[in-house]
Amino acid sequence: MAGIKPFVANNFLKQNIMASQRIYEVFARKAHEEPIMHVGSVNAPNDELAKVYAWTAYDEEKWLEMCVVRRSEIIPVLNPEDKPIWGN
Amino acid sequence: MNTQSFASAKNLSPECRDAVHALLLATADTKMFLGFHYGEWTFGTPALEAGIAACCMSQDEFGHLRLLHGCLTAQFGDSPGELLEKRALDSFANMACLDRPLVKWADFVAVNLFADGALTVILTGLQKSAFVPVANFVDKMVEEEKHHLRNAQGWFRTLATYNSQTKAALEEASRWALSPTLEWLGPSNHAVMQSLEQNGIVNVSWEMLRQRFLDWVGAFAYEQKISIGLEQTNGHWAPAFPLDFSQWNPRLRRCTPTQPDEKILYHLRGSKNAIFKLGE
Repeated sequence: MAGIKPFVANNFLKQNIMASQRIYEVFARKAHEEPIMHVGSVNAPNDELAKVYAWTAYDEEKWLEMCVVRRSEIIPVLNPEDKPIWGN
Repeated sequence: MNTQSFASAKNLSPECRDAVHALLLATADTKMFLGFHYGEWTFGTPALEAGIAACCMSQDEFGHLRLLHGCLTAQFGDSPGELLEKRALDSFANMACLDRPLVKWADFVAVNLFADGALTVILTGLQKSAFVPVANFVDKMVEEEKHHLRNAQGWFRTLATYNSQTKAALEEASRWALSPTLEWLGPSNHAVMQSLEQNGIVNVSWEMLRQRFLDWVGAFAYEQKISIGLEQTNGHWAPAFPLDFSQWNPRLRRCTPTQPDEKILYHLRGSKNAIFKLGE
């Protein structure tokens, strides 16, 4: 979009907010009979924004249920050492 | 309050018809400008996910605009061309805080909370409206708006608590956005609002809707220790600053003859690509 918003350095905010972000894993399912599955991840500074970002980033499907989990809260059971669990 | 329902605008009394028309047009105009500003903030947000959320909210607002323009065309005979292309700048009834580009991220957050929040409170007042064409689509809008308010509240809390710089920027932006939002909501005792109430177009009194908004933002900002210019008396929040509605225009929902930036309209109308507008 050839917009008209003047360029303003929001760098201070950007650098600091980015630094305080956590990674959240996003899980969802489309029907009760389906297992809930991992659909991706989002970076967010808190749980509230993680919910919004999960909804807006993964809204291409008509989900019945969606939830986010802080990656740091996940306890790995099997963890191949050569690759990260979630792929990023 | 009226228990009759109105299947079409033709069934409304002339004064109620004018009141509904003005409210829907002002809601459409505000959504159009909100959608534009959200869209502009697809880029330059503090985080990539915030840009996706802004873009998504922009799409929602333009989707709602399409529904409102459809209703205005079908029920009130407004032509799509007149709703956007051929209107004078001083005839737009959007909230005045959307007249100019939102320069800082804190401006975006303030508009997201106050302007979008006030609009959503009015939409909840239109749920189960006696005016059936509106009652038919408003529930979907309210459902989508929940995500907008979550985004606003999430960012408001983040900026309020992050550090003194973000808090000060948020406070300044909040004070700037709140006054024109209250101006747009208007005086509850105006004949236009009373017509909407008496005909069951809104499901509670206008004063109750206005107070619902004030109590929500007042308590929320207070929790975050952000001073937005409201004060609490007898359990309710009210503006601590003067609002003079003596010159309030019910068609424009403004107290003074201000108007949106021409450059925004230039972009909204697609003027740069006028030659590609097919069939006109």
